[in-house]
Amino acid sequence: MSTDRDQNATRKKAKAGAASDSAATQSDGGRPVDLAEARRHRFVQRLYNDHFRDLVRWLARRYGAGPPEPEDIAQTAFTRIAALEDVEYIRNPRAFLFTTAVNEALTRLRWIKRLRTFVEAELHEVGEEVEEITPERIYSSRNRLEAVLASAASLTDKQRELIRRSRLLGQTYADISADTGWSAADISRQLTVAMNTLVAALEAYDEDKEKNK
Amino acid sequence: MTVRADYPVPELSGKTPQDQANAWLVYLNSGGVPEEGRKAFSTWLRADATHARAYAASEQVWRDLGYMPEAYDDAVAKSGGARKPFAALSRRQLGVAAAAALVFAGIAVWQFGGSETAAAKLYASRVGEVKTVRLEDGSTVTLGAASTISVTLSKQARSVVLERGRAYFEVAHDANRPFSVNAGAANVTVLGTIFDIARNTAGVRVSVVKGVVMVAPDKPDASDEPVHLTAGQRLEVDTSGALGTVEAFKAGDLAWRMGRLVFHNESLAQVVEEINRYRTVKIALLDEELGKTRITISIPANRTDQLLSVLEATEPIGILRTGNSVTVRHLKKAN
Repeated sequence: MSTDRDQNATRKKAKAGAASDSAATQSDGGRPVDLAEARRHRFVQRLYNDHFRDLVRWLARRYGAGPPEPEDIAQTAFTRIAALEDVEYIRNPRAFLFTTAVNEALTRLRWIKRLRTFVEAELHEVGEEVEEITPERIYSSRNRLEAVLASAASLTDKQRELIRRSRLLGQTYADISADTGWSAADISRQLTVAMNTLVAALEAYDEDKEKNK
Repeated sequence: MTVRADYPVPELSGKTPQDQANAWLVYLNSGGVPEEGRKAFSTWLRADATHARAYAASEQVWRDLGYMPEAYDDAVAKSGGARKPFAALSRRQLGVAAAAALVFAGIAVWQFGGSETAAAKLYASRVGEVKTVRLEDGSTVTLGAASTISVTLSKQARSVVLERGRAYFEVAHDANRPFSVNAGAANVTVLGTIFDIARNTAGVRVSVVKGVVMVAPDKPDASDEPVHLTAGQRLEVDTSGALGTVEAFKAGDLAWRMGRLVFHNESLAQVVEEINRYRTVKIALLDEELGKTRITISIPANRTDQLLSVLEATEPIGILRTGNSVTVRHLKKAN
C-alpha cells in the first residue's frame, strides 16, 4: 500500500524534527535543560493528575473489580506511556491513555493473548505485519483512523454494540450470547457484515486518496 | 475448551478474498476456536498471496477499533435516544481534538519557554517491580512494586507526593531546601535522612532509618502537634489524619528493597494488600474477620504464594484457585 510508505515518510520527518528540537535546546546558551525531556515529564504528570482516577473508575465499570484489578491495569498503562519517547505526537492524551489501558486489560485475558500471539506469528510467516496503536501510528494514520470511526457511524446500533463487547470488553460470543440472548450464529453474521462495511470504507478512502494525489 | 459446534469454520465460497478474511477474523475472535479451526485458518492464509494481505488489512482495522474507547462508552449510554452517536462523536472529538492538539502543543512550549520554576516529574513502577530512581538533588528513592511518586524540585523546596504504594527515601542533605513528602493523610518533612513511607487503604506508615523526620497530619486545622521520629521509630497515620503512637521497628522490616517482604504482627488484610502489589494473580480475602487476623511472616517478594501455605498450615481456611485469582475464606466454625 502506497499510503504506508507515506506514513513512514511522515514518521521519519517527525522524528528528525524532534531530534533537532532537543539538540537545539542543549546548545542554547549552555542551558542544561532538555526541553523534550521536560515536556515529556510534564505531559505524563498532567495525564496522571487529570485522568488516573477517571481511568480506574472507567475500568472498574467495564471489566469489574478484578482480577485483574483496575488500579493495576491503570498503573501498567501509565508506566507504558511514561516509557514512550514520542509523547508529543499524542493529540488526544486521554483517549490514548484509555486505549493503552484497554489493550492492557485485554491482554490479561488469556484467550485473547493466545489469539493475538497466534495471529501475529501466522501473519509474520506470510510476510505481513500489523501495527499496535502507538503515538506515532495515531499521528501518521490519523486520517485513516478517522475514516474507520466515521464508517462505524453507518453501522447499526446492534453491530456497534457487538464491536464494543467483542473488541473492547473482550467478551467471547458465548459471553455476549448469555448477556443479550442473541445467538452465536447471529453474532458472527452481524460482526462479519460490520467488518465488511468498515474494511470497504477504508479501501474507498485509500483509493480516493490515491486519486487525489 | 472443547470443540464448539456453534462456531463452524466460515463459509467462504463465492466471497472476495477480503470478505473471506473478515469472516476468518470474526471466527477467530469468537473465543471458542478449536485447534482444527486454527489449522484451517493457517491453510487458507497460505493458499493464495491475496489472502495474507487481505487478512492483515482486516486485523489492522480490528485493532484500530480499540482507539478512542470512550466512543463506544458514549454510544452505549445514548443507544436509546441518539440516532448516530458515532457521527456526533467523530465530529466533536476527532475534529476538535485536532485543534486542541495544536493548542496543547502551543501551551507546552510556552510554559517551558518561560522562566517557570519547576515542573513535577512522575516516577512509577510496575506490579512486582522494585526500582530505584535518582533525583536531580542527589537524593535517591526506591519504589516498591506498583508505586507512584510525583517530585517537584524548586530553589526553595523539594516536595514529593507518594500517590500510591511505597517508597524508601535517601535524602541528600540541603539545609536551604527542606524535603517534604505528602502521602494522603500525612505530611513528612526532613532536611536529610533515610526513611520509608508505605501508603495503603488503611493509611500511611512512616519508618525512619537514619536522622530525624517530622510527621504531621495533612489537615488545614491540624490540632495534633507534629511528631518527631528518630532512627528505629515508626508511626502510623490513618486515613483521617489521626496519628498513632510511636513504636520501634527492626531494620529487617524494610527488607522489601532486597526482595523480601517482612511483616510483624500485622493484620492479614494489610499483608495481602502489600503482597498483591507483587502479584498479577491477586489474593482476595472473602471475610473481614479473616482480614483482622494478625500474622508475622517473612517471604520472598517473588514467591508470595508462601503466605498461602503458611495460612493453610495455621488457620482453618479454604483456598480457591482459578486462572487469575486466589480466593481465601474462613472455613465454617461452630458459631
